[in-house]
Amino acid sequence: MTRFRTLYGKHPLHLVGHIAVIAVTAYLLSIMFQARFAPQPLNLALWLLGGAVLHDAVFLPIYGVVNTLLSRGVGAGDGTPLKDLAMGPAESAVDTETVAAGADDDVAANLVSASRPSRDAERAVPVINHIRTPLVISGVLFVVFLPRILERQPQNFVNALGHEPPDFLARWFFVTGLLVAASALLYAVRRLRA
Amino acid sequence: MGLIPDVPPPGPARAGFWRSPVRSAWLTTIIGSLLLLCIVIVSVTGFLSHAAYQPDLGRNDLIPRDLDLQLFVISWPTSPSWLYALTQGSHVTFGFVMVPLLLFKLWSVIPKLFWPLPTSPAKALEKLANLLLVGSAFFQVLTGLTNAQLYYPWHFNFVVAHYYGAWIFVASVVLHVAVKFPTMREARRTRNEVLGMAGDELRSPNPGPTTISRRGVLGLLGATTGAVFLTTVGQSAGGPFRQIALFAPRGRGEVGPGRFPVNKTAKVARITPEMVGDGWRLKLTGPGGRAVELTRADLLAMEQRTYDLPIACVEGWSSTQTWTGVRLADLAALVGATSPRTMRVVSLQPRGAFKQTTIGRAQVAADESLLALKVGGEDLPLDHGYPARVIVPALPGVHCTKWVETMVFA
Repeated sequence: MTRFRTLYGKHPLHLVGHIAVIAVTAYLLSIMFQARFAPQPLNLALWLLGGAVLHDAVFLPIYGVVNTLLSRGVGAGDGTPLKDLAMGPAESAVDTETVAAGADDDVAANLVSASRPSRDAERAVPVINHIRTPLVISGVLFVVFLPRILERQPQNFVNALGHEPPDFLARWFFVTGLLVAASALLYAVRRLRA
Repeated sequence: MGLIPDVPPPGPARAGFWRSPVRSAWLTTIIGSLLLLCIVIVSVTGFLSHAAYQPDLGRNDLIPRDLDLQLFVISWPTSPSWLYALTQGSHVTFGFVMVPLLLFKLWSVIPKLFWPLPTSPAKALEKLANLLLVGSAFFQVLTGLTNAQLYYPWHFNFVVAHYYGAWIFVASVVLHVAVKFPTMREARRTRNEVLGMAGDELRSPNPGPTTISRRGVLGLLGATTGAVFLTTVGQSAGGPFRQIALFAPRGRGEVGPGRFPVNKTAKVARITPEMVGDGWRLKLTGPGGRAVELTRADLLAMEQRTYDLPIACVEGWSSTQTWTGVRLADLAALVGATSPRTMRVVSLQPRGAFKQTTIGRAQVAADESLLALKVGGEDLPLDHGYPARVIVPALPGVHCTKWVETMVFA
């Protein structure tokens, strides 16, 4: 048993489970790829892997970069540079173990300084979440309802429902506008009360 | 493992590259648990939908009957009448809601995608299993949400791919939960969020400034799923929700003749006025070959029943209407079929997957099962199946055949 763990890295059941799922998947794929169901096997393969690859290689880097630029651009609002923005008490995430486990000195220093809240920053109302929140909600709505918002295959809609589709794009702009306005209003109220 | 360098090259492969201070096993456990709940709802209702199509009867099998893993083929009930509206409405609505849950979950664990090459065979298998998991998750969500929005950008059989893709997804999720269960349990036990769980691989060793709290992340997730839910659910739930179902294809105001949605117009089904004119006859055939032909006037002269029943589509929308017509059991009796095992219905439409369908004993016998002649007190609009259509409680909409021409009881 110990020898198996050393060689494989986990309990034997871990291996059994993985082999079982991989075997079942291979069998299920052999059904899905039958020529009568998938006359263009490449197309099915692209769909099976495309979502994961697009997400990890395109979608995630884009929103990551947007978020980073946004964070640098607006700081904490109020002109407080972001690096001085304190972590709230629940968020002063100093993992002592990580520090002790030999993270280099810079990192340790960084952690310690980041965990010391400044009073000014506590009072500041960070603008960044008032930008990110409507952006995230409206972005996800766009992704989820993309086929109708961008009017893909509009004839399908007419064939099924018997009339022209409504302007889903206009509705999306309307909802986005609503979210931005609500977020801005909330920010103004918070600033006035701060 | 000498081939694998001890220190990964600079960039996303280094743990310190990822600086969000909110990532942690605790946060991923919360988001993952919510996603899991959503997956359970979507999977169960998906397999129930397969059963609701009664693939064991007649030529109902959209997935050839001889193919494996068609496990949940039970005899589909007729009560409660809103059963399919509930299960399929949930399937589609929670399928849409799964998108933000999936995106947030992946965001919370993304550093692991880039972490160094597997250091043991076990880690290598986990990487492969994760590819199956994430690949099948996106496959199911993307095929489902495009299909429910009448967009078919692929070149394969949707039903077969979505059904067997679901099994890949479910198998991968079960394995993933089994592997991660100890981590989830430990993370949930971690009362002290500040120190966190020992050996938490998701916690950044180089955290950047805090711009949002963990509660903030969960709040944003709640707001985003809420926005998707509220702009979709109205096409199934109706009532005031229908007014705010801004993005659902059958949401706000997207209704048809008779003020409820159509899924296939007469024009597309190639039903002409001549086909449904005075020359139309309903042809009934009984078990002994006994045959009867009825005009619409004959049908209207029979005992009429009126029931409020939902019509519920596999695409998720549903609408409860007041239907009036003749009981299917009364029509069966006309041709000497008492308690028939099946009824095959053929439509006037010249072709299409649902030109004909077969329903079972419970469906024919149910008191509320009608050959409807009217809806909302008026003659059926042509797009809703004039001169006569089947309406059966809890049956998927496509099996409630429109423009009925022939009914064969066996």
